[in-house]
Amino acid sequence: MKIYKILNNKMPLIGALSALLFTACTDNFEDYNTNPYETTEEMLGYDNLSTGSFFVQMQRNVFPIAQQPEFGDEVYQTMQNLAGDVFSGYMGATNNWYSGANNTTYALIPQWYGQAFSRAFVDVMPAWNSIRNSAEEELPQVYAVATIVKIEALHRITDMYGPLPYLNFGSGALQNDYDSQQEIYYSFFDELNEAIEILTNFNIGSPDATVLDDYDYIYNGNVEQWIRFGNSLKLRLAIRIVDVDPSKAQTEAESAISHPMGVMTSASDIAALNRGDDFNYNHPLYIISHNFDDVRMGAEMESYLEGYNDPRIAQYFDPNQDGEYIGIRNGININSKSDYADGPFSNLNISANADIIWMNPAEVYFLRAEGNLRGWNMGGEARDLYEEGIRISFNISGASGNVEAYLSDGTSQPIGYTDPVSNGNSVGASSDLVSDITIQWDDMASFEKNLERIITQKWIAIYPDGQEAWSEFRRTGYPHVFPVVINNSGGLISTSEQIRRLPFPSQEYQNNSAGVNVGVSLLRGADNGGTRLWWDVN
Amino acid sequence: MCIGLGLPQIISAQEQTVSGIVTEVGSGMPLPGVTVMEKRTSNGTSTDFNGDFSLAVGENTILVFSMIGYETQEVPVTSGELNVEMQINTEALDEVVVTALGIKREERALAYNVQEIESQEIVQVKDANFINSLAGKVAGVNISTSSTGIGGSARVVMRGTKSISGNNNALYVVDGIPLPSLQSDQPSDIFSGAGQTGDGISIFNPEDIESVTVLSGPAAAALYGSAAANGVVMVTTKSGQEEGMTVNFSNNTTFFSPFVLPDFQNLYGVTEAGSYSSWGDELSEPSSYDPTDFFQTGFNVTNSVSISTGTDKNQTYFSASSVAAEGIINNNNLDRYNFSFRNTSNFLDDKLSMDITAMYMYTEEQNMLAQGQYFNPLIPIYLFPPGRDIRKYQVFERYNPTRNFQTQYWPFGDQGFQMQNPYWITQRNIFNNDKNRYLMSGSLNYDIYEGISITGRVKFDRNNALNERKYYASTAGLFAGENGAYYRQNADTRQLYTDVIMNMNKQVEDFSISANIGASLQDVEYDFSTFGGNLQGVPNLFALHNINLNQAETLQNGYHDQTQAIFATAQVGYKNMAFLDVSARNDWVSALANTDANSIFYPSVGLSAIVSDLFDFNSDTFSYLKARASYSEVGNAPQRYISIATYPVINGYPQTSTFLPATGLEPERTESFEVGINARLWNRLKIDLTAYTSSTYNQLFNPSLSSSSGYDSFYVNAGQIDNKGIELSVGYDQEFGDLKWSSNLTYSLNRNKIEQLLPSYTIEETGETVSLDSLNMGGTGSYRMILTEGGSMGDIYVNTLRRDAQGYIYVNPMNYSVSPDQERFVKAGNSNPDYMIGFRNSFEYKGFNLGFLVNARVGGEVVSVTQAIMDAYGVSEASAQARDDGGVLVNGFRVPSQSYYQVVGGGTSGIGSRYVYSATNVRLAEVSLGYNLDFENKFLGLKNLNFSLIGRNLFMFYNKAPFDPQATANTGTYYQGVDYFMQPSLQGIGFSVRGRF
Repeated sequence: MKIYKILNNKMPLIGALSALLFTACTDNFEDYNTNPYETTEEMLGYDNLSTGSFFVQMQRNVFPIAQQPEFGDEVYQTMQNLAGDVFSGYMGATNNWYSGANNTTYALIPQWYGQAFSRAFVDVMPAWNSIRNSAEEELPQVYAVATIVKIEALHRITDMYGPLPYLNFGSGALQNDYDSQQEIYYSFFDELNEAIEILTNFNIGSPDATVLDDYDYIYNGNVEQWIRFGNSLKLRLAIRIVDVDPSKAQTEAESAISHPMGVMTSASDIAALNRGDDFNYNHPLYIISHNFDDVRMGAEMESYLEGYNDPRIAQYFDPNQDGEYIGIRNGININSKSDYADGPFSNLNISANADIIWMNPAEVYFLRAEGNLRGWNMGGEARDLYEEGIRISFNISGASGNVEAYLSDGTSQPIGYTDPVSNGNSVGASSDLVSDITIQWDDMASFEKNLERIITQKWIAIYPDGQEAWSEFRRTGYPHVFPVVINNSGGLISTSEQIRRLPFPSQEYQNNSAGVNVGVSLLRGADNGGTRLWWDVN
Repeated sequence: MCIGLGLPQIISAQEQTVSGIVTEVGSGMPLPGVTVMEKRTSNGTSTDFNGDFSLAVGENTILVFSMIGYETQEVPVTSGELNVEMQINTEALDEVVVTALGIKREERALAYNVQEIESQEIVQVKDANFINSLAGKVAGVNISTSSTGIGGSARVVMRGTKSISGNNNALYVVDGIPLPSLQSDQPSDIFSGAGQTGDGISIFNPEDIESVTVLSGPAAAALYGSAAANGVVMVTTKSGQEEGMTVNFSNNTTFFSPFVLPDFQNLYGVTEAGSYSSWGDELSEPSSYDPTDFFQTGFNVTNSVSISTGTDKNQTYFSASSVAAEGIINNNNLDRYNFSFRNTSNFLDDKLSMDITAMYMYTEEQNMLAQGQYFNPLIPIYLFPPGRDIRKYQVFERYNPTRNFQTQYWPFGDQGFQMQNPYWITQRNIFNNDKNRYLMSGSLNYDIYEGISITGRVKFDRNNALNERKYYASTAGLFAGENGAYYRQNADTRQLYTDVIMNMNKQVEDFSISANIGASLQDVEYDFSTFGGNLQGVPNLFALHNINLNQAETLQNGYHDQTQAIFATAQVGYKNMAFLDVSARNDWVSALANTDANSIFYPSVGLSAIVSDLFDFNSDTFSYLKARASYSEVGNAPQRYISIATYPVINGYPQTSTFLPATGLEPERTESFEVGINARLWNRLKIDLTAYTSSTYNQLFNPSLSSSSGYDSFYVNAGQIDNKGIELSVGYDQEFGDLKWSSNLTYSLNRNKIEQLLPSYTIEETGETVSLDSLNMGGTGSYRMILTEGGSMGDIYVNTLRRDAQGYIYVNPMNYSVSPDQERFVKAGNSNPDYMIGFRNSFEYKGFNLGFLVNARVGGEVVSVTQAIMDAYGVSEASAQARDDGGVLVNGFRVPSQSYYQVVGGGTSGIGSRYVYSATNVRLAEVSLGYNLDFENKFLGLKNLNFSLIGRNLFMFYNKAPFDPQATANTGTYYQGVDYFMQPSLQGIGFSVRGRF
């Protein structure tokens, strides 16, 4: 009784204390629970950030640069360097990751081959989708430029895996079915055509206007250059499907050439990720080669560039201490990383400040040369386009040699390869593995010879984009990339046919099994590195 | 008065014999083992089984009867027969202990297990981090020492890990108020581990501690609501004394050496000139290179002084202490200064009391290395080929004529391990931490009415940590540019805690009622920023304005968390024999903002009964028996920031969010139930036994999503982790004349089970279903912690060698080689022990005391990647043995040693299944031998002087692993039971001097 009374008497006091403590109560909790170091919805509305910053995000992830604190250059390494670069003959790995059973020996590492998929769908596609949602109606030219960048990013991804959950992206569904590579390519053409049309109309309406110039590190908002890049990209995609769908290829390729603004022609048209006052990055290849010491010149690069006395070798690679250029073959046994990382091999001649190149005009000349070789109207003859491609490549790379002499060299051929660490990896000069293709154009040569010539020179010109080089190697079989010495694929990947694609990410089987199984059914074989893609029919 | 090793003894003339019987008051039972001493002499005896004694004594003397658990009695000798009745010492049994929020309770009334450790047991064999001194002394607690050496953190897990994504370390509470943990990021991969720092509790001065109370179960901690699930270590600090003045001083000096090291070979030399592996020919004479020479003798000199003074109205305590320590790796240093002030005073006829505390701690740490590839000198040292001369590389830098300063000399490259010259690493890759911590608190207590008082407390705790990293020019390219690199980080933590509690005590006839009601607010702000990068123009000028801005690293993050709570607890006692205890707490947590839940309610209820009183069977044998049971629900608040979408900024531009914002989140909840008994037998043997179960559900999961959704992951509550176990502590005291023996045994057993991970869960927004039956928590290339349904947290999985169709290891018959199986990870065991035992004994004899602690950990597995890589490089004893044997016997084949070990130890992690070891170990954890001098008349002003020799981790009675399994690089939840070139744990030998004026 008494206790109750006492309690009762003191209740007001407790009430007062509680009131004192909880006057502010929980009103501030939303503030506290909102990360003050990140951007809120409201801020996204400032200065067109919701389009501009997401456009920057897309540009950062086509070739992923380090995005501290989220990830560093290991992402470029696993997505580009340890996929395309080492499959294309450009570079050789020095490291024996996973006791040597890794991508280089066809024991494909899930954490590596899943990387490209994540970057495309977590970084590029959501950013594009946000831009689409905010700009498709009001600022179609912004949407158009973003779409070109999206296709630049995503065609590289489909060329790695094949089918992708592409068409339905942004529907809000958390699991999505895969689309066939054919549907994806057809969509690329439609989307590119629409984007080019939007930009052309925009340019006609306001010739001096720029698009997103504050956020555009490729062309600084120059609409004409974006159109030329769009057309050039369309040409690349058209040539890619020429073996499987020749009429579509010719239609799209010729429409790109016949467009009033055409394709890239001069060195200044190059699509590269430039730096700006407020935008800087290290070229990931610099970090991978000079800081990680995980990669060196590829054996095939040594074989071709040395064989051709190609002056671009000095632009691409550093000589070793003895002044020689020595590459590393891929798919070899490496006992200790230091055997190769500290051995007499040529490092990449690349500075941290080098630009990442998305597409260069030399490639466009070679694409046109191939088109013309196939009898298409490419606004020039194959020979002239081929030679112009080499000239502009010398120009862009800053090579010091005499380009005309190079063009008229009809005898130099690729040479054999000697591995100074382990002779078992060497390739004799007379081996079938070494091509006999020469530099000088020869109208009398067979279609196949001239195709090899074009692709070989394109391969040299588009260095270091190993991803594109690997795709063209798969399509054409050129240049001659040495097969792996050790094949740890367990019979899934043929040593002679070489790797044809990357498997779908293992996480997709966990999180999107129905969707990825649709993708598997759209493949022309099992989901492994030995199955050829839709356009890979030769 | 003479001073000597033997205290002066006054032997009185023995003129008469006294005999009699000693019995217990009330029961009249004779008491055996009672000490009977003639006062002021060493003359004495003890009673026999019938309680009889007989002693020859001098004239007009006094006999002192004493026995633990009874009041000591002094009886003048008046005749030859003396019968004495001993009164049970009720105080000893009604011990008052400090419980949650600093509320004091009678131990007999508690419904849950509370274990108290006196300051003596912490400072006797002192560690820079006093938490390490608790290992083996408390049941139900698993303490692993961080491998960062002196001053590192400890991993303290009570009654098993409960939370998959949250924190599992105990909550630290000082004088009733919870502390922020201040735990830094822990190494959890093969790379990181350099530049660690100790956590918040590790920098407290052990001398300021009056006692430590461990509340291992959630029921005991329920009043702390969130974070209570992991149990609580409650620290009560010293306050001033009521009369006179006492000055205490102490010096502890300990010398350290590495405790457990792998075995090295010294017979085989380098493979070929210039290489770093040791698969070469047998050396003409065994190499004199000994990797252990790299370690220096570390030391820790701790000096402290404290002053305690006061009157019955006002008491003051002041202490100062310094720690100067060097680790076993050169240039690893720890310096710490602690200052503490406390004043307690009473006003208004003692109705109002005030308590003010101020503490300041300054800590400097340098090169705290836990493990990993980066900046780890142990890798080049352990792998250095026998036969080569390490002295050549001890001159780690040489004059570089083109640069005009000294640069690193290391001709071996990084070997894929980011190796550098080990001496360069210790001298030229410098990690400094400077920490300033201030704690201020005040409390007022007012007795409003008889039995009713109100207390208000406020505590401000601020920690400012500055971390600097300096990499000199010519450091490996992965870490620094050609001019070096400099990074500077600031972490600032501020916590404001305040509460108001009203206490009520009332006796109504047979019922006692004690209740508390209160409210609290805890506000924590954290700010972290870092700036740094490669140096621009001037080599080795470590200044922000010399940083290359193009490649600078900037990062800022932080948070502001607030918890507001109201709570109440009530206890009803019946005849001081049976008690009902209920508590309730409601938390409003800022991390719940914008979720469906807006507050969290935590109830607990407990029942205890003094069975021996209730049924009145107190006897000689059963002097005391208590039975208790309690149930509670506590929880962990969810992660902040995940319910409100924001966009991370990369290089100055926002980018899309990678997770689906979670608004349906709920706090994690732990339901626990415990029963126990506390018994006293023969008044000598004390047994506390507790059995518990707990179930933690609503676990926070962050499962990955198909990237085709545009997101990496989402957050969801699901899953259930169960723990059950036993805590037992047994104490025994016995006196044999002058010899006092006291023994204590703790036993802890815990079983953890993942009852459920993420069962099929339907995402509301899209109607899609996701599920998860295993979760990879990361590790090395060869070791992972994987959670699976039906498994247990701490399960270790390892990669294996390829097997043939019959399941035997596949040996290629062509070249007798084995090959790795990259895809398959098999379960190797669990990093948690089956059970742990701590066995402590102390003996006192006329001022001498001897104490030792044996800790045993039984069960569990660990993986040593260190051993794998040492094998691959051919520097391990095992690799020499294999060469002597002509290869390794695998599946009936003799596989050549080099090819075998370069597979099983190859790459950066090797093959885990070949390097799994039992974690069972038994060690002599602590030893002390001391002599205590009490001066009846002051000697040089001294009242007391104590000198002790001490030892820590002196000896392993049993250990099969090539490292100390109780050491861990990571004091968080995962990455346990793996050694990736961890710094060895420390063996310490030293002395302490303590004195009192």
